[in-house]
Amino acid sequence: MRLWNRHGWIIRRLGVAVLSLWVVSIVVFMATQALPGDAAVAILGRQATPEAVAIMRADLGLNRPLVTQYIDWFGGVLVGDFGESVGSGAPISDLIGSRIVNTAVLLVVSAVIIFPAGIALGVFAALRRDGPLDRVFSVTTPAMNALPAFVVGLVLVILFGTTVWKIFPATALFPPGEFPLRHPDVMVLPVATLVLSTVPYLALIVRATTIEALESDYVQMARLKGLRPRTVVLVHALPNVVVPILQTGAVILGHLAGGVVVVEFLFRYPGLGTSLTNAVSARDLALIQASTLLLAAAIVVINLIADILTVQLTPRLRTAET
Amino acid sequence: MSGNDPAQRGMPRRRFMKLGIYVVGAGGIAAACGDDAAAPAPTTTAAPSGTAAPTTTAAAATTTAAPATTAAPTTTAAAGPPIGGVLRLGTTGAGPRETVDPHAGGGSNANVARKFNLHARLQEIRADMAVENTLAEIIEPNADGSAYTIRLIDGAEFHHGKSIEAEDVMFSIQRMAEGGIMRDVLELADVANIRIVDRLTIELPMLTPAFVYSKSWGELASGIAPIDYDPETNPAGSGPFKLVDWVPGEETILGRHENYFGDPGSGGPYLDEVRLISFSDDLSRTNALLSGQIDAMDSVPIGQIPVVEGTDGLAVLEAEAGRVMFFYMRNDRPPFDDVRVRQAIRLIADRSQMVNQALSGRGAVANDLFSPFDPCYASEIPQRTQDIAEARRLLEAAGQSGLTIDLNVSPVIAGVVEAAQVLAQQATEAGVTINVVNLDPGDYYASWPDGWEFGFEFFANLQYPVIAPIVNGPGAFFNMPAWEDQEWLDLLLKARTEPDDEARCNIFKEMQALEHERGGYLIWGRANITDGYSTAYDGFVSHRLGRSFGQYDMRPVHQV
Repeated sequence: MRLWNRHGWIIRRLGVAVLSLWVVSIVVFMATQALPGDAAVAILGRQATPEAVAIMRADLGLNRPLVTQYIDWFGGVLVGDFGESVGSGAPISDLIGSRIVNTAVLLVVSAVIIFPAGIALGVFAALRRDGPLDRVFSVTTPAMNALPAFVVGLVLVILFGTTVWKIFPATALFPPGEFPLRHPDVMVLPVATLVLSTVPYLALIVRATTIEALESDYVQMARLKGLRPRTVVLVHALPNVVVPILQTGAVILGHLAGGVVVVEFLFRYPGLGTSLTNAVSARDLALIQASTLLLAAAIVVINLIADILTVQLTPRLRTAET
Repeated sequence: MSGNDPAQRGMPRRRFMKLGIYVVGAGGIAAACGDDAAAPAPTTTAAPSGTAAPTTTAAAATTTAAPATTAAPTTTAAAGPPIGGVLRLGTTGAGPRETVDPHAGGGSNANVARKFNLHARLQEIRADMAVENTLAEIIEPNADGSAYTIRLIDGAEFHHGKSIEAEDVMFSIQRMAEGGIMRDVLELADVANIRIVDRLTIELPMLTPAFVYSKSWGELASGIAPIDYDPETNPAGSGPFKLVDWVPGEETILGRHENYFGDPGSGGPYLDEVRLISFSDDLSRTNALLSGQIDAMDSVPIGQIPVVEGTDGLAVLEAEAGRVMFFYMRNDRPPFDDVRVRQAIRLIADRSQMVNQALSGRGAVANDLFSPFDPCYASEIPQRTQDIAEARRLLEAAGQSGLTIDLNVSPVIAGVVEAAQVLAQQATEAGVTINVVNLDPGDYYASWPDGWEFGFEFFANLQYPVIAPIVNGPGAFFNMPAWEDQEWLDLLLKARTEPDDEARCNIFKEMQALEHERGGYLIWGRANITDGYSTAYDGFVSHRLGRSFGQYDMRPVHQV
């Protein structure tokens, strides 16, 4: 019972996460079913003879009731069977296995740069509030933040890949199946795009929360006690901005998981994002469903972890829950 | 139901297709329905321009050469281009739907590139559209047209060392007939009863007497595979390059076939390796070329052509006006069921402006007719030009003054949406309002085969005898305007029985006159196909049929 009391909220939060995923699965399934026109015709395109359409409809199981189709599909998803690609007939898991790894690598490498860079930049600006550097920061970061990742990527490609300097590969071409970090050069521009399109937002939040913490009573008290400025910042101010940063971090990681679709498309990075865009253009429903569900699941899990860490790092919340 | 639904037509589609094939020869239907034409991906076309193919017949192809490794040093054949090197070719892919199967339909330019490089054919359609025997020594009908004799050249080998023999040709033809785009082509052939005459000869009986298979074996899906072929376990081919490795939708590694039979028309292959890299969009493919990550790419987007041209070490290969661009008007639905409305819309179009604005001038105007490179093309029919006054008169006579109509398009290939917008602008002069509806490709083709009242399409540059029945034949699948004209059909039937080439040509010209007068197509232009490549390589050729790099012919390509 104590265990339940202590961890009940985590279990409840997990339950909410599972519920979210289930709702997501319904949305994803219904969205793909709701594609305009007949899915079989859309897949066949100019080869859609009536006979071929009939065969394709039967192959896709489109003649069955929608609920039956969903239950069959979701039952498979629960045991890791996402079905087969319409185009190749190969199991979806075979098609996206290495792509999940590639996307995870891209996200992790980006996140490893984004968080230290964003926090350092935000704290730096907060500590020099209203100084010349902070003014530059205050002007440039919102502007950077307003640029879509696609534009940032294009500019980087033009600057460093194709037109001005040919320093880094403009597309992420590396042998299929190989671990992307074996080819760090092809990672540079995709990672830089994600970093540059995300760091400004994090830095702005960190700056604001750090300034708020620096103006708090407990920091003022620490200063009045004569503590060194460094100690004030590191021991008294920063621990209190961790939670807001964590929540912002979850939002940013969610943003990354979505933004990665655009970045992968732009750089032809062989991840889940390109898998999704290819699947959409080919009307490969099973592949669309699997790719979307996995990206959505990643966002749900990231938020779940952030929530758990937030509670663990916030004594008031932790106490309230026990 | 659609007018294209065979059940709604007087003549079932397959029956008509059979008739059409019987009349005109089978090969081009494969061309029309080929991957290139069928995929939403951009297609290509060509006519000789740019770099010329090596003129040598290059014995190097049939003898030993540099080891097939990416790091192989370049060596030089006795009197030909250097042997060796790895060419990375960026193509439009189709994700996991890609295939190595020589006889499967659908897909993308990546599929086309694989088909032509992995598998040789009995015949080849040359860059000037002439059809010549290659693997075949003889393809000829008997006196009464009840059977064809096909005899192979001796000494050709598959990638795995097996000699190419009659049993393989029988196997391949039967496999072609099972499905894919050659099935319709082979409808008149009794493929189940092919007889092996000797080691190199088969007899292909006809279900009904026919003389149409003499030049049908050079198209996309007619590759010759060994009798033990299996796309999964034994993907051996007969072409100039063999399959080393591939991941669908990503990369295909092709290695030089050392014992390629050495088609005298092509030279090569010289390269150790061709790496086909699939891209799903034009932008990243272009960037990869500009940054030197690939050595060649098909179908450079129009807007990027000056960029490629202006980049040191890159060049473009522009092929003349092979992609036929057109709008279709449904003859079986108002308002286009009135011929005067169709004629008016055709007269509204200022084709020069459409080519200049939609294709940036990289193309040519068309005259509402297909097949301008065909010997039977009706070039004597005057070019139709804009005539707003006459268009207004026709619309008024038809009771359609102030007509408002949707034109459904999709950015499947460059220039389509832009051409529709230009036409819409021009139409205002005649008091016609054309609402351009720009749809996602999936949404656009979701209407198929019902089609739209007013829509767009494009084709490779096929020969008239091939394309006529499939785009204008009653009930034909690609008869998008649902045009049914008895006079035209009678002429087609007449052509079928005409043994004299010139007389048959004249009949075809009469048919074109009818199409020009009252057909359902506004064929406004023909787009150039522009490929990009690194000048570290040479030997790329272009082709009039409508595919990049001379049908992705990598045989003559070599390092400089």
